Amino acid sequence: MKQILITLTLVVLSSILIETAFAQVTATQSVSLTVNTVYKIATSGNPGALTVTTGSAGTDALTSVSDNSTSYSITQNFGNTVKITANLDAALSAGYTLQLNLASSKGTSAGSVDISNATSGSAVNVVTAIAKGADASQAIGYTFSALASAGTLASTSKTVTLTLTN
Amino acid sequence: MNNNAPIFDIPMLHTKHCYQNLQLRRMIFLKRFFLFAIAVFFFFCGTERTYAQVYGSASHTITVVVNTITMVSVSSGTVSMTITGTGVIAGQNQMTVANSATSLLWGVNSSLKKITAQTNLVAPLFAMKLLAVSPTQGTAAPEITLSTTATDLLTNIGRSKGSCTLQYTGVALASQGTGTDSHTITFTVAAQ
Repeated sequence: MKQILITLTLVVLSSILIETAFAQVTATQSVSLTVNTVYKIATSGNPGALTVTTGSAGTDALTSVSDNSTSYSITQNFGNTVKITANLDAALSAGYTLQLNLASSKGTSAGSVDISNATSGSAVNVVTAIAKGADASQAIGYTFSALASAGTLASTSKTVTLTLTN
Repeated sequence: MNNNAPIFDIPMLHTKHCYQNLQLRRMIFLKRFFLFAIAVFFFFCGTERTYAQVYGSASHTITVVVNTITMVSVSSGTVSMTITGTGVIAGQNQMTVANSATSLLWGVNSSLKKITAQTNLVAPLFAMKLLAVSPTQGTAAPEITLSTTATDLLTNIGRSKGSCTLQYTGVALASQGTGTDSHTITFTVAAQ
């Protein structure tokens, strides 16, 4: 009888000790968050047709036309030396000029830049020193001009590529 | 007729017959005795069971104790998240990534408790938010931004076992650049 009592007591005490030993009021978890380099640039759409329709008598340069209907947005976390370059899919013929002007609140705009002869191998800077962060809905301005001596130009579509690069 | 047959043939046959009779009777007797013995045995067994005598008794006291038990654990010790640019919209500074792959599990047998969460990272580069989703017991607090101060994640946990999904959301601003934060998140069951 005494042995049974001692045994039972030991069992109960062991259970209590075990439960107390494994009692846990905290748990931990390792959580890592990595942010990779992100470059994003997008345009709002296509500008309208740029059609030269008039000029001044006695002047070879016809009256230029502009379009400021589109915009671009960027997001980048790479650094503060990021820039935007622009180029056409193919150069314009001589006597026709396409200028591009990108506004910027995070970088330095180059103003109106002639992109008439800028192709993929010779892209030109239009915004430089863009700081990390986002710049939304910045205006894109196009100005198209032509010389009377260059003659007429049938409707021609050009693809303008804006590249966010470092 | 065989003249060589012994003259005591007849008495010999008689003796043999008597001997067989005796053996038969002995076997019958033994069989009956055996059956009687079995009957007596079962009779006494039944009697003992019916009229068992109590010659003494004893009792003892058993003490059982259930201590306060509080358990909390996570389904996996590691969570990894990466903002790669997928899903990032140009023009938006904020970039996010979410993970709901792990769960928090708990068991409490004492009075009302809550579960808090905190990180060991004193100065994280990016914000790490946490929300207890679909708790089976208790009330989920609104999404918290993890800091080194313990913040309520779940409240009103009574005597119960339960679980919830841990929804982490990493928030980075593009203007913050790149980098990695390694948090050790501690979940604590505390008195409410």
